[in-house]
Amino acid sequence: MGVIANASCHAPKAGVREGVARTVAVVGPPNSGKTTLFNRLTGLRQKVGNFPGVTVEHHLGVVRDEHGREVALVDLPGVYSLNPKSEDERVTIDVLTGRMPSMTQPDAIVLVVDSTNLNRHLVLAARVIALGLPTLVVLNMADELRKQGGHIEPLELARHLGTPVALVSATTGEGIEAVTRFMGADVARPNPLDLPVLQDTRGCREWAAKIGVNASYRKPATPVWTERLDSLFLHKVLGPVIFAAVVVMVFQTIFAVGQPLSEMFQELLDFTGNRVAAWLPSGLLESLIINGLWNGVGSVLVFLPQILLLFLVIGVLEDSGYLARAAVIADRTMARVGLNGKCFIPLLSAYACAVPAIMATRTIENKRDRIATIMIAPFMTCSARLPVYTMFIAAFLPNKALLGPFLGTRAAAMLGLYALGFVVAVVTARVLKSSVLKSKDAPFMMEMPPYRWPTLRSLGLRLVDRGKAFLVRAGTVILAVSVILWVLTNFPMHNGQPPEIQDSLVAKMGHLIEPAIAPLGFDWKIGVGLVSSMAAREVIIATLGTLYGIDAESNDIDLQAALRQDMTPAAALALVVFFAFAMQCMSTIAVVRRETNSWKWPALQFAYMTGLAYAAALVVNQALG
Amino acid sequence: MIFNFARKSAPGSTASLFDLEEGRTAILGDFDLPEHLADQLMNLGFVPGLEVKVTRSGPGGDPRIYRVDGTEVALRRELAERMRVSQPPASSGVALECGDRMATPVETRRYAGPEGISALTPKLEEAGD
Repeated sequence: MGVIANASCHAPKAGVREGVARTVAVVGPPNSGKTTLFNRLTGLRQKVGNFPGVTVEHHLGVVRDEHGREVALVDLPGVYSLNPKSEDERVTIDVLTGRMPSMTQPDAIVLVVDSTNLNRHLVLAARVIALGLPTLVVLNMADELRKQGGHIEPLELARHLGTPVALVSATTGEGIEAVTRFMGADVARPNPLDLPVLQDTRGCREWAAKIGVNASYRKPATPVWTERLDSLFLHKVLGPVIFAAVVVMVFQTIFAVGQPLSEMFQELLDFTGNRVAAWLPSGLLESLIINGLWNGVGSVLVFLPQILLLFLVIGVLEDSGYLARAAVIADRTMARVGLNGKCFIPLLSAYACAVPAIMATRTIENKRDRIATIMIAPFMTCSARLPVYTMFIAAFLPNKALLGPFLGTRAAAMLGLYALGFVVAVVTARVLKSSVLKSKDAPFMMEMPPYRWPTLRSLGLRLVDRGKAFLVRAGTVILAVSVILWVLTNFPMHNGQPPEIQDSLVAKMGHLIEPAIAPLGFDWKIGVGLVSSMAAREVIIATLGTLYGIDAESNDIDLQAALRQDMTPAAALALVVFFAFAMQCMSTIAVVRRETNSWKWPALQFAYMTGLAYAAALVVNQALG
Repeated sequence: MIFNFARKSAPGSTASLFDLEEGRTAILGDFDLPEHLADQLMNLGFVPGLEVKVTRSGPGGDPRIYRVDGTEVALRRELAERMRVSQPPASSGVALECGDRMATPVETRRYAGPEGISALTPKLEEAGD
C-alpha cells in the first residue's frame, strides 16, 4: 500500500529556498504518532525552535525526497482542531497560512491521523483540507489497525477527501516511502467531494462518519491489554498503591542514581581539569580556562546525568501511556492547589533538582498550569540546598532528642525547612492560579492513550533532544555567568596576580550589598557567599571557607566555629530561611527562560522569590535577634 | 435504574453525565458550557448524539474516565456536571455498549441528519442550573 495520488507527479519543482527544495509541515492530533513519524523521517537531523512570543515549540528537520533533494520538514504541535483560541492551534493556523513571521508558508502538509480512531480524526482532516494546501493524509498505526481487525479502503477515502492517502505505520516503517514520495512530488491542491461547515463540529462529525462508511472503515476492537492494564492501574485500591510505587521509583532514580552519577561526573571533570591545568603555563590564562571556563562547563554538565535519567523515566511513563493514568490518580489532590494531575511528577522531581523538573513540565498541556508549576518548582527543597542546611544546622543547633531516639532537633529543623518550601509552593500556586494564571476557561480534560511499548528509538531521540536543548540554550547562559563570576573573583589584578578574595570585585560587591543585608544579620562575607552561590547554592560553603581561610571540605568543624563567631543564631536561621525561598540558582533561571521562551517569567520569579526570601529572613532575624 | 438521581437536586430534572453510574451508558445531550469548552469537548469526541460510557473513576470518584467515540477521556466533575445525557434507546441496548461501531451501517442511521440528532437530544428546559 503506497500513496494513492490523485495527481500525477510532474517535473521537480524549481523553487529553491535556502538550499531546500520545499517546506512540508507535519500536522496531527496528539497521540496520532505524528512525532514518531517525524522522527522516523528525520532521525537525528532535527533541531528545536521556538515561535516568537509563545511557549509553543516546533521541530525542524531536513529530509531527502526520492530524487535526493532536501525537503525541510516542520513538526507542529499536536492539535485536535484549528481553533484560534488555543495557543497551539493558533500557531498551527499561522504557520499553515503563512502568517507566522519567522517561517515561510509550507508548500504542502502531511496530516497524520490515527487509523485505529479514524472518524474522530477526520474532523481535523476536514479543517486542514479546507486550507487548500497540497495535503497527504497519513493513516498511521496501520499495523495496529490490521492486528485488531479493523479495515479501511484508502483509495475510496482518497477519492472522497480529494487528497492522496497513505496507510503507514511510523513505528515499524511500513508504507513510509509513500510519505517520502509525496514530499518530492508536485501534488495538486485538494479537491474533496464535499466538505462540512467547519464551524459546526457536530456536522463535521457526521461528515466524518459518512466518509468512514463510504471508505468501508471498520474500527478495530479496543486492545484487550489496555482494558486489563487499566483495571489494574486505575483499580480503586491497587491503583494508588502502584502510583505511590512509581513515584518512589522516579524519586529514587533521580536522587539515588542521578546524584552519585552527577558526583562521579564532577570528579571526572575535576580530574581532567587538573590534568589540563598541569599542561598549561600557570597564570591568568590557566585560571580563566580551569576556574572560569572549565568549572562553568562542569556546572552545566553535572546536570546532564540527572536530566537524562529523569527524561528516560518520564519517557517510559509517557510513551507507555501510564503517565496519563498517573495524572488521573494525582488529579484530585493537585486540584486542591489549583493545578492538575500532570503537574505532580515534575514537582516531585524538583526535590532532586529544579532544572530537570522544569524541563519535565512540558508534559503538561495546559499552558497556565505549566507556568504555575514552573513558578513553584524551585521552592521544593532541592539537593543543592542540603549541604547549606546541614552545615548551618550543625553549626548553630545542638542536637537534642525531641521524640526519644526517633527525632532529634537537627532532623526536625531539616524537616521544617522541607515543609517550609512546600507550604510556600502551595500558597504561591493558589495565589497564581486564582489571579494571573487563572484557567477557569480550560478545565482538566485528557485523552487516555492506549498502552504501548515504548520504543528505544523514540526514547533515545527524546534524550538527545532534551540533552541538546539544555546544553545549547541553558548551558550558554550558565557558562556566561560562570565566566562573569570568575572575573568578579579574579579582578582587579595586583602586579599581574589575581587578588586575595577579600580584595576582589566580588568582595566589593559583598561590601556594597552589606547595608542591604545587614538587617537580616548578614555581614559582607555572607554577602560574597550569596553572590557566588548564584552559580549553585552549595558554592556558598566553599566561598565562606575561602573567606575564613579554612578548607571547607576537610575542616567543616573549624568553619562552623568561625561562623559562630561572626553570626548570631537568629542570623543563621535567617540565612537558611533565605536559602529556602531565594532563587539562588542561575541554572534554574536559564532553564525557566528557555522553557517559557521569555525573560518575563524568570525575571518575575527571581524578583518574587528573592523578595520573599528577603522579607522572611528579615522577619526571622528581627523577631529573634 | 440508570441514573442516580440522589445526587441531583430535584427528581425529574435532566440527568448530567456526572449522575451516570460507573459502567453505565447514555446518549450525550447538550452542554451547559461556554462555546469554546463545548468545542474542546467535541474535539475529544463528546459530540451530542453519541454514546458515552463511564468506564472508570479516579480516587474519590473524580476525575472519571469516559469512553466516547472510540477513545477514553478523563473529565473532572465540574465539566461532567454540565453535560446532559439521556437514556439510550432500548433498541441499541447492550450491542452498542462500547460505542466502538462508529462506521457500521448502524451508525449511518444515527448520522442520518440533524433531525436524527435532535431527537436524541434532551430538551433544555432546565438550562442554567
